[in-house]
Amino acid sequence: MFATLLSQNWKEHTRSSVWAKSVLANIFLGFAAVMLLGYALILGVFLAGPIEEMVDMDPITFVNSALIYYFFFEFFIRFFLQNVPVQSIEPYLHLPIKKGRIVHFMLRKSQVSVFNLLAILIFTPLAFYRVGGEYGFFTGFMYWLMIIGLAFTVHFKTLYIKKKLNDIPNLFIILLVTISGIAALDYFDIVSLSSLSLAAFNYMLEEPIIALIFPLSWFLTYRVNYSYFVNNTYPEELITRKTQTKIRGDFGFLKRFGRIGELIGLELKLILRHKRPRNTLILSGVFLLYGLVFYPQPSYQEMEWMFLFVGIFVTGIFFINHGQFLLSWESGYFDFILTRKTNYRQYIEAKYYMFVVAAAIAFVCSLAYGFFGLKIILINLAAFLFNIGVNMPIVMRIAMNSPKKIDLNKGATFNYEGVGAAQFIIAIPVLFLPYIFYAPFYLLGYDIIGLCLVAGLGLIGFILRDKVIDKLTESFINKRHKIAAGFRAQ
Amino acid sequence: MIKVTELTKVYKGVTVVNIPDLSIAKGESFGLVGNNGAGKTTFFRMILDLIRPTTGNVVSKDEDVSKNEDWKYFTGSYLDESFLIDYLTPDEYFEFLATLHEYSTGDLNEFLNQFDELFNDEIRGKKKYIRDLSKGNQKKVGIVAALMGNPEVILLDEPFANLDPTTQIRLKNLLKKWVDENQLTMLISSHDLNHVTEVCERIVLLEKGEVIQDIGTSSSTLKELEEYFAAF
Repeated sequence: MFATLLSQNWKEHTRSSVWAKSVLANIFLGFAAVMLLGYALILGVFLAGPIEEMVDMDPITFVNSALIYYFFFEFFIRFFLQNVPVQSIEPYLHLPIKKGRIVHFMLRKSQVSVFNLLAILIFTPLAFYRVGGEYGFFTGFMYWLMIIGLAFTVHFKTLYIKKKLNDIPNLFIILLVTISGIAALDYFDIVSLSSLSLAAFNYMLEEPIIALIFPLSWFLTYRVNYSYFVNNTYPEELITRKTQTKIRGDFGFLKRFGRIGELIGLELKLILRHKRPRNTLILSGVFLLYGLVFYPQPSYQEMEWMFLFVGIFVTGIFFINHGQFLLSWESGYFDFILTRKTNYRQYIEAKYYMFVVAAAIAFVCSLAYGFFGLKIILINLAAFLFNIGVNMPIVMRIAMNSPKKIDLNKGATFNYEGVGAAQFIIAIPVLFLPYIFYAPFYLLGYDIIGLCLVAGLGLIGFILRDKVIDKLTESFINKRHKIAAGFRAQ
Repeated sequence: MIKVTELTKVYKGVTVVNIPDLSIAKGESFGLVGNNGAGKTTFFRMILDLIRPTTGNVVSKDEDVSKNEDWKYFTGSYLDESFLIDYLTPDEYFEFLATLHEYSTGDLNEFLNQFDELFNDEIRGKKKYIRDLSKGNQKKVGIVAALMGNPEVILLDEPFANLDPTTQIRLKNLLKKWVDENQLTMLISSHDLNHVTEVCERIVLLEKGEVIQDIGTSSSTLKELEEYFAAF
């Protein structure tokens, strides 16, 4: 039975439309995971030896006093990124399989996770090389068991707390207050977490058998999760999807702008009412601060050519992020779009103006960077104009090439749905095109002329927007059947 | 066979199901009718222990369905697509169920062969995932899967919706045959008054979660129901 469930789980992934259609994204993800684990191992080797010279401290003392922070940190990372795939057990609930078996399967499978390997890779070299070397192999082995037990305890604790969040809505606040309380105590030197951590783990070195507590707590937290899940295997209680009681956004004021305004209103509702596009929007807000990474640094002041790149990002991040999935967002009801009473030009035009307005808002916000020099305003203005005149139509056009389906109801973290080849090449024109015009003049020392050229090209593109929108509409009309068939087939 | 007592389900202060007392005898074919939002599906989900009742319980063959899982071994069900493992092909799905019910390959083939007419050569041996099937074909897979393992009780939600007329008639005959031959207790909900009065010997009408009418089917039942819904 276990093997069957496992093979079905494997099929679920390999047969999901995302997997097959975006091999590139999968390779990328796999590569990132291997890199991460590689770094963890390197860090582990580093902790076991060379760190001695850097911190001027015994590595074991150093690690023991930091261990508590590490696991707090791991808890937070897991809290936001890790989830139990409870939805996938729904089709099994009415079948003659005992709930307990399904839950066992789900929990056991959840242990196969990059997060659980992380701590093991980081601390294994220390456990055997250092602890084993200084306190004997048995102590080293117990230390290693302790790390494993701790990692899996944190794993199951996180799962349990995340599930409990549904029952106790204030739990998150309680958690936050507790942890910031502990952090405050530590910060003001009232209670020193590091010395606490050091004392506890050093005691273990003296009494290695004590370390068995941690594998035991792994087992206990597993049982707690198990009995919780078995008693709560009701789909409506398991699924963390919160029922939205508030209807977000009305955008009645947009009606004044006629059909185009209404279409923009529809798109804004789509963005605000779904997690993934909403995150894209929030990210665009955060990217407004991107300039702060560069402008205050004296070292970047000498690399002024970088600032155009920053400007392109700051003013254009929304259309880069949202526009790369231009039609994919609406893949769920694309047939509806094709059959309803809007003409295609208005449909494209609405998207165009939405991006223009978003870029304009970002540009206005970026005016605050004038604080770091008026030149920055000039650079950002050129970037803004180039974005709306040239980059935006290019992104929109590329996004029309065989877009991939996106299921809006799925979460946002690690969701690579909709990512295809287009999303990888989209960054190239956006980032490099302005430099084709800017770089030669910059290198010759006429950077202002270069900027004016970039701005001018953008302005020309914007003035000719009717022609540009016509062209975009034309390619949309030519491709619409292929796009619709693609969305349906996936 | 199934006994419901003091069963209620309340969502945010709104009672969606309130059935003080209802019994369904063994071998009975039970039809549930009612407008959208009457609580038909919620009621079925509680019988299948997919929703935790606010109060009361459902007893199936003398056992409370929420207390132990015995009911799973004699209950077949198909309510909606979430009952299907949609990334499998229909063949793989049937084979998986066959292992659960301890069917041999021969048993499975024999079992599936009786539905050849219903499948109309569109389900078996096709290299297509369930999620890529049409709604009607998905429904066929779900209903046949529910009949696997000689169930004593079967629950079907809207079995006739999305099916073509030929299949509706075939399914109707098939269900009647199963009820007669296997002493099957069948619970179906339907908006199709015509079909439901033809298949079921007992009709229960739900409105806002409460039982409004509970009648044995006679020649005048269809007319009465039509009058009720027309005047609603």
